[in-house]
Amino acid sequence: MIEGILEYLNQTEVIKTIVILGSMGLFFVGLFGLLSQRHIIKVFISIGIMEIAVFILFIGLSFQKGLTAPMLGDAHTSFVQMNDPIPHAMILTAIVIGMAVLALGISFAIEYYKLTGKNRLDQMNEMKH
Amino acid sequence: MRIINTLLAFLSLALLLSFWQDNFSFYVDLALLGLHGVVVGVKTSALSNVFALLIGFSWLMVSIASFASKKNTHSTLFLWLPILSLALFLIVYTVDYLLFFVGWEVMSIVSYFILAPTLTPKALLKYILFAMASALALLMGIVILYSGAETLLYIDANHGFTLLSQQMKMILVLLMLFAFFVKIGAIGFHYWLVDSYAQADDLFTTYLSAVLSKMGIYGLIIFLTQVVDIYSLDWKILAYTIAIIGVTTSVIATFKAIKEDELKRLLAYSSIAQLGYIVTILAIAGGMGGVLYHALIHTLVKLLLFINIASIIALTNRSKLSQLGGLIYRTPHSFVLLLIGIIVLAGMPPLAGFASKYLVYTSLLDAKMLLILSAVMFASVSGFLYVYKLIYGIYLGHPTHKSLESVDEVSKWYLIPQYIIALLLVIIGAFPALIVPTLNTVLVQLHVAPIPFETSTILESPLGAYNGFVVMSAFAVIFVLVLFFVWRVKSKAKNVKNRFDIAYCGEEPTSATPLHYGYGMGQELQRVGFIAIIWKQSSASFYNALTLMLFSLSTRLRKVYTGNLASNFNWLIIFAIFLLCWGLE
Amino acid sequence: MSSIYFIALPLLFGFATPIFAKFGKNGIAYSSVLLQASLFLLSIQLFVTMDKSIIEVIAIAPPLGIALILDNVSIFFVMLFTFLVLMGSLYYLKLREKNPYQNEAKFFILINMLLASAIGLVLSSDIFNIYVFFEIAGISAYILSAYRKTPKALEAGLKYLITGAIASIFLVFAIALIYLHLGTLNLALISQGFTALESDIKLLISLFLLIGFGLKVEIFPLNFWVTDIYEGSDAFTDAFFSAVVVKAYLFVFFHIVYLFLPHKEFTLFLLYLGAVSMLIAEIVALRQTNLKRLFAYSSLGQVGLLFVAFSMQEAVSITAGLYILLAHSLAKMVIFLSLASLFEKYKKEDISLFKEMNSPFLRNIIIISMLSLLGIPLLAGFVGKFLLLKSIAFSGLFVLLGLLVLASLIESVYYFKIIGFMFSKEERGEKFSLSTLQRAVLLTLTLGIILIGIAPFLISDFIATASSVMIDVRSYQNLLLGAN
Repeated sequence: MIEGILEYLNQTEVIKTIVILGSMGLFFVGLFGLLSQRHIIKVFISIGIMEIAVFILFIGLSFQKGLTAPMLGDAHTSFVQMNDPIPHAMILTAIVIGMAVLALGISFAIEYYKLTGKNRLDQMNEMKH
Repeated sequence: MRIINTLLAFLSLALLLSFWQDNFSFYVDLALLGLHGVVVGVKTSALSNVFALLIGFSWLMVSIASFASKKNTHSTLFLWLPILSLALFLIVYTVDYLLFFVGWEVMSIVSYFILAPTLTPKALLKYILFAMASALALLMGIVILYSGAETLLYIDANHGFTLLSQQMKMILVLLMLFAFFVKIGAIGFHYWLVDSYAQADDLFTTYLSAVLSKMGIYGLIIFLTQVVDIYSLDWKILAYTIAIIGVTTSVIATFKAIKEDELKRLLAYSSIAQLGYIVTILAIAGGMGGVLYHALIHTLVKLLLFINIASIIALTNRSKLSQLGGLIYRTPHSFVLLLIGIIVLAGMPPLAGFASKYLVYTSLLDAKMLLILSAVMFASVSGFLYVYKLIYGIYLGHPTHKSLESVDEVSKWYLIPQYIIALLLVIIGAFPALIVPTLNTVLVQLHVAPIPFETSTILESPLGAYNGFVVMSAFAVIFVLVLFFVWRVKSKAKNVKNRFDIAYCGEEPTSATPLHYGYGMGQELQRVGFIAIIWKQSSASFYNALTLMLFSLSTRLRKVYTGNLASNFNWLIIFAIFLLCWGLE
Repeated sequence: MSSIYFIALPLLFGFATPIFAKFGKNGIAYSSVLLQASLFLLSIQLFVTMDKSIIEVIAIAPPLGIALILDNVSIFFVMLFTFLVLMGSLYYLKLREKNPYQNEAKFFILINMLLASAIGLVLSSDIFNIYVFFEIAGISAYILSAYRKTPKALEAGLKYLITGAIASIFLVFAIALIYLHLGTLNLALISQGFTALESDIKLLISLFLLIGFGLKVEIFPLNFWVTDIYEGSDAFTDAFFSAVVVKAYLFVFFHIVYLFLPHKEFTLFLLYLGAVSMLIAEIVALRQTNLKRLFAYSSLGQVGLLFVAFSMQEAVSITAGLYILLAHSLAKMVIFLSLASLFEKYKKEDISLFKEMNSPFLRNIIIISMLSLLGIPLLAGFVGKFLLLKSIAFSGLFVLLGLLVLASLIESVYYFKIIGFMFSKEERGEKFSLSTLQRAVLLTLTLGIILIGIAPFLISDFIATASSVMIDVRSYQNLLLGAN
């Protein structure tokens, strides 16, 4: 029975559907957070979730069953039977950039909080002209 | 600075007169700019020569008059005046709408910088916004015309115009009319004009009224005759509308002028009214001769009057009729000059004003536009009131202040240009057909009927001839007789010292004690219903409402940029969903 | 000569700062200026010697590898950006004597990063590279806007960062979708395969690209954040945002539009979006009193105008767009740089600053720039505006023509309000004169405005070629794929 389920889940279409549904779910969770939350850190978390959702979607969909990770190692001496390395490289870069941006944002938020004691988006209204 | 300016003015006038007959042209192809097939250039023609003559002459007169004041009073004026005049020459000599626009825009901006030091912020903003609106309407019109003709030359524009759809033609005509009417100050668009004229440097007002407003007329002549064939049957309604706008302008501005107390505002309204006549007959087939004649005379007379007023303001530091009076004893030369000026302005014989008014009337009679003719005559006759007010308020009656008793004649630098102009006006009055051959070359160029004339003294029309010389001689004889009579009486009269105290018992007349005739002169017309309405109405309320509307719209739209990210994300999502739905369709 | 230097050298500058710091306290500043000057000269040298487009391959040949393309239009942007950044840095050399940034080394690193990423955006022929430079430009801009660490600056930085992060999510999403469906990141290959995609996917990709780039190119309604950023940041950094960063994003966006999405409907939509954007920005600016914010609105308006110009998708209108872009960059640089000095001197950012200002030089310079922005003839702005209006009229879009003319009229209201303030007869503040270097910088920029206005034919050939190259998708594809 469990084997049957696993067998079913192991189909490419099913995996991709799960990836799409899951990542889109995650994306909308992030979007909902972005729209509903006012706390700056929570907004950053929402942005992080949305980013992750996009990354998962991309990696998940570009993955092909039966192929290994695109790395040369003991068993793999040539670029055959391997997944496309470009999405991985791209997403790695994107993760690094995203992390850097969020870290920067949080440092801004902390500075801002220290200066003004404000930590919510709707309180950020220094500029009223 | 002003010496250079005067030399430049003199030089340009001399150049103009010495190359009057020569044809000169210069063209540039703009294919380099991606404007394929666009040729721009300048070319001399009879029409442009006449207008250039007006520019050069006015420039010289204003420059001469400027020597009267102390050194640095008009320093910015002389920096800019040559550039302004250059732009005006560009406007009249160019053969295409691109350079016309360049000249037009430079004219507006340079005038702005000349006006900037003297105008109040509000008047300044009003001036430039109307100028910009005019320029942008012109630009839009030019671009529309260009899209039809694929060239910007005047000569091809008519063909391009016929290629446009009926709707676009109408839009184009409205845009161009707007652009030129703003400059002329046709009624409703004169909101900027009076304040600018009143607050500008006195000499620059002269230039504004004498020349800059004529550029609107020039633009109209080019557009209506070269591009739109205004005299054809297709545009009959448009022509009639323009005539009505012109005559309405004249009537309303005349009555506004009657009410004015401030010298320059009065003359500003008078300018509007005079240009109204020109616009009226511009729309009438056969009126072109009158247009040119009247434009010429109006330029001369406005130069004379504004320089005269400028000299009085410089002399007394007073700019209101109710603060002046009795200056005839102190400044007899100015009085005589102003007298000549107002006779011309009123269009009375024997001076040059009558000849031009005569052409206006006859062309209207020819066209059988009797209603408009009667309105023009009505405005023209009502105009007597303000010209009388002008001369009475300044020179006649009693002085309103002691200081007016002790002024001397105005500076000779003011008198020289005035005498030159007055002389011209008298000569043209006596020989009204003297300038007609020149004007007729223009009319031939514009393919309209020339002004009929017999000899240099006789202007002809189907209704009869006007012999300026005879009329002048008759007037001269009567004038000498009257003078003799006055001299006889005067020699017996006792010369009264200190007329001020005698007139007002030592009081100083103010608006609370309006003892001087300058207060409330012409106010009695208040009782005439429609005049009271004209006086009460102002286009200010319309423009104020427009401004308010725009500002409230601005406040509303400002809400987009609250800077509240949280709420803006919602907008972002709504926008995205909207796009998605729109795209799916 | 290689185009990679334009990206590599400014980035390497950051690593070399410890060395430059050894040369005394001005070492970093002077070396940064020197670097930018040499880059500018280099770009000119490249422009002079370049007879055809250059493709610079990094690592593997395209389509797999990364390539930089230096064609007639990108050299235009490279020259413009290096020139403007050089001018800005020169100006800062004097500005820093009175009001320096803390930790200047970082500041110079950021400016150079900004330059490198702006040039990188223009040169990249690979959509993922574009994303990377998009982010580098973003990060350096966030830090620059928050640099003063005042509440306003930090707020501006935070807002910039949050919107930037959202923009990048959508951009990554779009790139992911493109890669999943086309299996390539190369712009030429994408543009070849894009039309064959299903319409739903195309829609989704174009939507995400529009949102991702739209947030950065300041187009209505995605420009809600812009004015706050401009107001919160220093006027000096605003000069770069307005003159350099936005222009780089704008070019990339339209490059992508021409390559992938040249649908008539989509560009028509962009066209009207631009016009509406301009109109709204100008109307809002009417009542604005803070100068930085006012000129931010004016930037939004000009971006709207540029949107219109580039969306027309004709060589003439792109020529017009490049002229407008050039004129706007020069003028905004002048205005924001002078504002930086003025704010520092008079300690106020209100519009009434111009009543107090007592510096004929700055007054004249600012007036010329503003008149150029308004499109007054004989100044740079007119050429582009006239060409644009002409091409709009030739396309028969008369409503659009009316909208733009109306927007220009409204624009002139507040510009002339400001100019009126400069002529106000109220008592002036203290006399203020700039140092010679600063004057020279401003004068150079202003002379550029006047020269282009009086003699547009000096550069018209170059700009016409640039615009024809920009719109020529086919030769771009051939160039990029032919190097294979």
